[in-house]
Amino acid sequence: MRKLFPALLSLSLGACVPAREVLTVAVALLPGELPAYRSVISEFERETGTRVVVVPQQYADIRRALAAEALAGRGTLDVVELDVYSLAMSARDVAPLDEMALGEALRALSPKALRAGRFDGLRYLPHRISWQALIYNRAALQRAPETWEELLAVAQKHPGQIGIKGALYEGLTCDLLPFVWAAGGSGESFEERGAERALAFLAALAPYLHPQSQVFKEAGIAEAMARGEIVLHLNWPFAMSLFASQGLAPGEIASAPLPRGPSGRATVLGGGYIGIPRSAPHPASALQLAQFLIGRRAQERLRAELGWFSARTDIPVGDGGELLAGFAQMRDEVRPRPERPDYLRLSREWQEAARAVLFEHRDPREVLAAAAQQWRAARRDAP
Amino acid sequence: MKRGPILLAAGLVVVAADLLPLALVAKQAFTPEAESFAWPPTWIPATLTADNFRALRSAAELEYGFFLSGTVALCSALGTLSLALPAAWVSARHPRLDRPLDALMVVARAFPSIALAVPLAALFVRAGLYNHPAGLGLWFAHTLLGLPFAFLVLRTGFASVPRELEEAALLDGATPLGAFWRVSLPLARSSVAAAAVLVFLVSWDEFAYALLLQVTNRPLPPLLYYLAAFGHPGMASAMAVVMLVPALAIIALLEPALRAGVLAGSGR
Amino acid sequence: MRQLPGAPRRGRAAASLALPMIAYFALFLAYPTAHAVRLAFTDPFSGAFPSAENFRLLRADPLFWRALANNAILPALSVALEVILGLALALFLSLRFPGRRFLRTAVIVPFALPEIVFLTAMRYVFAPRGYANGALVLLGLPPVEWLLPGRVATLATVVAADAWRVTPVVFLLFLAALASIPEEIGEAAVLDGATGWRRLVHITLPLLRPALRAALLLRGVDALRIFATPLVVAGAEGAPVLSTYAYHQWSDYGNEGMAAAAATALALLSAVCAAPLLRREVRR
Repeated sequence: MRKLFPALLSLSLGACVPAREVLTVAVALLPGELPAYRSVISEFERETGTRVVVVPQQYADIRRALAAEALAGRGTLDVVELDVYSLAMSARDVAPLDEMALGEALRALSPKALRAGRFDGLRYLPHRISWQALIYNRAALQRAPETWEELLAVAQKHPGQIGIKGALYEGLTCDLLPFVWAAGGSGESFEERGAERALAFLAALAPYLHPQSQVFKEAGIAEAMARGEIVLHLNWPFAMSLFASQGLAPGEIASAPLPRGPSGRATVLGGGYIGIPRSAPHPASALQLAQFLIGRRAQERLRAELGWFSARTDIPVGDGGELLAGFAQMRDEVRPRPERPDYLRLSREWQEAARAVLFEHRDPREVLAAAAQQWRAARRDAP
Repeated sequence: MKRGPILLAAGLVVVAADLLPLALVAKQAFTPEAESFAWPPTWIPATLTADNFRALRSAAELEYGFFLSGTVALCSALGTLSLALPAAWVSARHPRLDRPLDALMVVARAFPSIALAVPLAALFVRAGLYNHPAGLGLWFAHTLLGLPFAFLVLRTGFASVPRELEEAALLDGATPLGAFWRVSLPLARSSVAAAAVLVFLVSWDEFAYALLLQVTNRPLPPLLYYLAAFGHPGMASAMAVVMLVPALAIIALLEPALRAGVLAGSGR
Repeated sequence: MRQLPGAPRRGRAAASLALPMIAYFALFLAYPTAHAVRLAFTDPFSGAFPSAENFRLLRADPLFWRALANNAILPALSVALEVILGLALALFLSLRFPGRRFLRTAVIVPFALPEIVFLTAMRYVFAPRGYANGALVLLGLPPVEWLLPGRVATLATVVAADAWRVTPVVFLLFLAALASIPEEIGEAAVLDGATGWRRLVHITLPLLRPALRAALLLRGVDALRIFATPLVVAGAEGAPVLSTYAYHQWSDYGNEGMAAAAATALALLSAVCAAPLLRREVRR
């Protein structure tokens, strides 16, 4: 009755009866995560006496609602969670946060994670962070490849059993960028040596990929791993929980850090950051809620009940056990994707370049030159 | 040899097969999630539980979804009727005007929702109607959607009201509007009721516009889609059952009209 | 037709009664459509108008071509299936036997229920570990991948789900048509010694031709708009059709221009297929 009761009340009795304040928070929750998240929120409700409505929705949809409300100047959302790579895009729609008021809470957060939320002032707080690690079949490989050379050797020994999330979507960029970064590239230019080296390596890997790689996304590739069709791939922590529930981990399937390239190793920062829309109806209470959500108790409960990683330095990654060991080891090598408003288009260019190399077997240098040209043209045309 | 019982039995088998998927969803709603994951799947529930409904109740904003679905359906039904009633009456009485109006209905029926929803979303954002908490934008879209259905049903209804009664009223000195209000409308009562319920149902069930125009303030169909597309069978099936109940009630309301063939020709 | 005094004036007054509805269509159908066409011809990067960039992007996207092809195949197959099943059901339920009224109402249920509820049920039926495969396994057969993205089987599954849901419409149409066939024709045939099958083929079916034409036209045009069924059952990339393609572009990529272009292509396709319907109405 959270939204209904106040709405009816204010409709029928006008301003005479003060409606109880109701906060609305939009989070990209899977339906299965809803009950646990709601119970964490109810702690806040008990503490402050403010009711909170939790709206589960996809990141793209939350972004759209946010943009629409910002345009209209008024809205229903008090706190929104956005995908970490779209923060730049929506920075104008969220209000800068009062760092003085947040004070204590901010100090516990990892500085790198916090930095990713700054766009002309602090606008976003890390709600949950995530990154990919290498997931491999211990029975088939004994130990995980630690360098690119070893990875290639493994591929040659297990042709058709290497998995890459090759569908035309953001997940492909998340598989590609670690290689670009590990080769010294920045991810923002197609004409760097690092980009060339990364794509050349992928071209070398291409003949050994699983045939379904062209349509693989997170769920599909995890299933292929569970069925034993692939011996390694990159994925997010949820995959390990999936394997654990099927009894495959931590025994047969394990996690490991990504292989090192010529310039070290890195992995892509994922997860969600929360912000307060400019059009939020209750900005003061929204800040309170945001503070609660990054607070120790909430983050600890989210870790325990949903397996989310926290940006707080006083909360370990996973439970320290074997399951997420590979993820924990990469904690300091997590890099955010390029923080720019046109990131989605840049990402799309990378995806197409990667697919051209991986599935059409085109020459990496050619592909990169074409991508660079297209990107220059696009940026010239852009407003 | 009595054919009757055999035919009835055959008919029951057909209907059972036809409705089997719905029965299975109902089963999933009342069995624990673990059972829904079992392989091979169970056909008859082993354990019954209300856990899925409890989880649904505590987690999803059901009351708001009902409120929004109901409000939008009611308002678009009112909007549709107020627009379609006079137009249908005109169509029934003036064949020359009927042809272009009917053609317009054909165009409206043939129009793909997505072709409208994308520009509507853009326009509504500018007008502040996108993702409206009371579903204002959706009222407009659903009124548009319901017009062809209401028009056809009402036209059939008015066509069956004998002209002579209206003309008699006119000869007695009544205005055309008065004749319409006091003679035609009461006689077409059942069609109006059927049209109202039909349009309400169309709006209540509608998915495409709801999905595109309401993103965080969602009526029931997009909410169910979210639960089913991204979640596990338990909560989604419970939600499906929850949505079934009012829909079945409305069908029961409509059944006499269905039998009377009032809805024939509306294509719905 | 007897003309009452003041008839022409009343005719004009009558026409004005339809104005609100027409105005509504102008505002909420014509105007947004014009806007969509404008969006489709606006360059997505520079905002220049007119520009064929969106259509060029569509042309370069293999998913679009698959969606276009599917948008022709899927409706055709679905309508064919619906007509066959609907006719069979109507013939069956026109026979006189007790309980047929109940059966008639029961058969309509898949269409009368909220679309999303039925489609959710279809999802669980055709899931990899769903009930269809469960039934196959029960019969000792291997499970089938009903909904793997891009396969022919996926298209067939979506066709089946759609026909399952929409057959009641065609069924009602044929039922009404059958009910309007005068008894005497059937009785005369019986007197002439025709058996049931011959009666069906030589008398009933030809008499149903107008209903068949109506069904094909109506459903054919309707089926082109298919959106929820492929989206919910198979996902945006499982069995792409123009509407889900447009939705995918708009929702997941934010490509308003491409979405509008694909939607415009769909509207054009619908217009072409609806033209015969219009001609029929105008001729009346």
